[in-house]
Amino acid sequence: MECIVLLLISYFYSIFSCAQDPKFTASVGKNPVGVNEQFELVYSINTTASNFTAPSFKDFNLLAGPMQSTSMQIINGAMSQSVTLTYYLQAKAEGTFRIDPATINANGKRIQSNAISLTVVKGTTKQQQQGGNQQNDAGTDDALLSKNIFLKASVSKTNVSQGEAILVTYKLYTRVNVVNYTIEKLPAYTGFWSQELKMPERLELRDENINGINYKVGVLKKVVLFPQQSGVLTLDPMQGTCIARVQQQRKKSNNPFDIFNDPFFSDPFFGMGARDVNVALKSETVKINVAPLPPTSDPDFKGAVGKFTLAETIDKQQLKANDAINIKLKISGKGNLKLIEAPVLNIPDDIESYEPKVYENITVNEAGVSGSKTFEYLLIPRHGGEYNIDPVRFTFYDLEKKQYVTLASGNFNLKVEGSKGTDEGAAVAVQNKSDFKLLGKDIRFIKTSVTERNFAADFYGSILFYLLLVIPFVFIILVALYKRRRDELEGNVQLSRSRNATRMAQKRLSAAKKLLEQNNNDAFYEEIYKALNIYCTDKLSIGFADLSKENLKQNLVAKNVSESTVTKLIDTIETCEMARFAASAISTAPQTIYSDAVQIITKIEDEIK
Amino acid sequence: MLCLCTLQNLAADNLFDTANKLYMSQQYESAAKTYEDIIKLGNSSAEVFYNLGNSYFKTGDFTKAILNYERAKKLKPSDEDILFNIAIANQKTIDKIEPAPKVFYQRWWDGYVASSTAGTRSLVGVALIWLAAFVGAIYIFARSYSLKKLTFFGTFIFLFAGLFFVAVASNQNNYSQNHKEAIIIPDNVYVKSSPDDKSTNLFMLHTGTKIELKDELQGWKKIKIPNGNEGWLKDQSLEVI
Repeated sequence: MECIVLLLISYFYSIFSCAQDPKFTASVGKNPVGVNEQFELVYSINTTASNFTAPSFKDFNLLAGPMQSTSMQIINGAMSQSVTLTYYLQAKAEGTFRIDPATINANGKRIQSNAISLTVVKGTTKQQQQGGNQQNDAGTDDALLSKNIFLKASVSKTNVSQGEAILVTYKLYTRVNVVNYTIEKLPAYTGFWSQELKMPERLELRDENINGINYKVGVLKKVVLFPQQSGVLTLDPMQGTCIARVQQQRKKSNNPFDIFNDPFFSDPFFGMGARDVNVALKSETVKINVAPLPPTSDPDFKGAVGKFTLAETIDKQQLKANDAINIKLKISGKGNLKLIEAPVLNIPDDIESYEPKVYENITVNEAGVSGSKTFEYLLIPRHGGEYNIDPVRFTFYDLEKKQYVTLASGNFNLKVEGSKGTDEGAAVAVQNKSDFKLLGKDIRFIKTSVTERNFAADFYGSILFYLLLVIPFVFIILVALYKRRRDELEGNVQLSRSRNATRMAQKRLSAAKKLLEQNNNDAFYEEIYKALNIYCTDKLSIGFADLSKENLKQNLVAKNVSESTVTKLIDTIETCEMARFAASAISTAPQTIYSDAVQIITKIEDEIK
Repeated sequence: MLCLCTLQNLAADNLFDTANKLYMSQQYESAAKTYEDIIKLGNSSAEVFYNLGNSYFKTGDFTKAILNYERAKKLKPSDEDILFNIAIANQKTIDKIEPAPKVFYQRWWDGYVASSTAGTRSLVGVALIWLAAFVGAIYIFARSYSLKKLTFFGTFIFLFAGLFFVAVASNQNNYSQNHKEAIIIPDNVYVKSSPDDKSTNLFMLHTGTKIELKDELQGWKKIKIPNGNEGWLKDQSLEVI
């Protein structure tokens, strides 16, 4: 861009070439300048030139430039022209700085401008009166710009309570024409809840007088802020740029015959016309002291601050089960309405409830935020009965009274007629039945009495345990010993005989079986005969000598043994007797005899008393 | 001696009533302190631990609540209230460790073992063995064959049942003596690979988690979590149930 401009310049100058001594000067708008103050650095040459090389501006911020302007002078038909290149710089720090010479090619030679020693002082230097110094003419309007255009943030109050509304107004003050402006950075409003006011689309300018100087003032933005936390909160600056249209002062010639020196020609019409300058705008940071709200333990306080009223309406209080009811709660007043949460209705568990619908009617203006917020609760009682919904409580902090105020609605009494299952059919009746609902989850209640540490808890491993474990075994051994001893003492041979009888019989029978296997039939019959006879004598406690068949039969029947068993016994004994003398006369097989004998003894064992 | 003991019991009873009243008037912190005093007197019981657990739960100290519920559970393993509150308190812990799955018969067996205490089982076992002895005595004196047959089998059935109960009780007693559990106390701790501060962090446990103690060594404890992972923790990061 710079190159093109310079090419153009050289082009024009080749047309109007003239043979003047090239004069290449550098000048600053003012010296000394303040830190951060904007000033103008102008390079001017009175002839054709090209290849301009600027020095480094390392000690300064380059705000704008280079801006080129050309001026022509016609003196006695001879035309002379000069070119100026303007930089807008800003000093970074205090001290004396040297701005190195710039170089340019003019008339085929490379020439240098003068170097400038610039003093930067603290604060802003007093603006020199316009026209006081010719050297400063060009710089004046730019230097003035920072004075003449600025952004200002004004707050309605800087000491507030948490939740109290503050109005912040961002205003643009100007004494020059503003062509355009853009807001580049909006403050973040950290720690605030913000609500912007609607602004007219066109910037309306009003006159305002500050310290005797008239400014055109335009309100860029209005914001209502509600501090959400206590402490010192900072409002970040708003940043933007604007394009100011500055009347270009004509470069005054040193030539005393210059007719343009006449004040008449300082009319903008004849001057070099308007020049647009970019001006960076930045409002100051504002600190706001936010006092915390007094502590409260009211669970109904949810951050509402201001002044409110509460009104409730219920559309019906007598209804049938499964009909819907609307309860409306209207909170109206002034304060942080938008932050108000729906108050909690304490609804009996038999009534179905839904999330409340919220309607807002809120206006935001300079005075703050006011209006109303309506919460509409839809309830459906599912069963008949009388229900009482507790009054709704709404607590807010009253900024005027400096205390918490609790508003309560009236009671809501509902009379619900139960729906009769028979009238509405089975389907509805089923629907009316509600499942068992677990309403809350909590730990179970404490135990109010200590059950005595039960005996069982310490039982295992105790001496008593081992004692009780051993005693039964000792007991059973003692019982068995006692039994035997008693039998012996009482000489109860009968009983012991009877008890031994079975065992003896078993022994003999197994011996008989062996003999049978050895085919020793004589010995086998002998053994069976003995087994049965000895079993009977032992069992009945009679002498072997007394053992007649008649006697045996009588005794056995007396002991409850059945007739058939006795008959079979006697038959078997007779068969065995016979076999001992005439084995050939026996028709029954020895196996049958054996099994009969076993059967008989088993039967007698079972039947005998 | 007996008199002193009774006096102490009386004092503990009074403290228990006081603590219960404090709990009911929602002064959970003072209630917890009073229950702790009862335990210091040496009159701990499942109820005191349970109520202490409840008090800590209400003050929001879920870790101590779990610790005391677990102590109560150790004394009364099948108390429904204790089990219920443990389940609720465990919902507040951070670590959700899936226990390693068990075979169905292992689950049944564990359930059966947990259903009663060693003390009750040993009592039942001894009673059954006594019953076996009496039935055995009847057998000795019985004359009729059928009665003898009946009492003979009865004796053995009762004897085996009794021995089974005693064996389970003995097993249970051994287990509870060798199987120690603990609760993680700090908000979070790294479980180390060896008893050494510089060793690798294996995993992190959070407050309230129940762990099993396997071994100990010079101020360190070897722990095992339900999913089977093992590692070392410093003594002060846990409290034994």
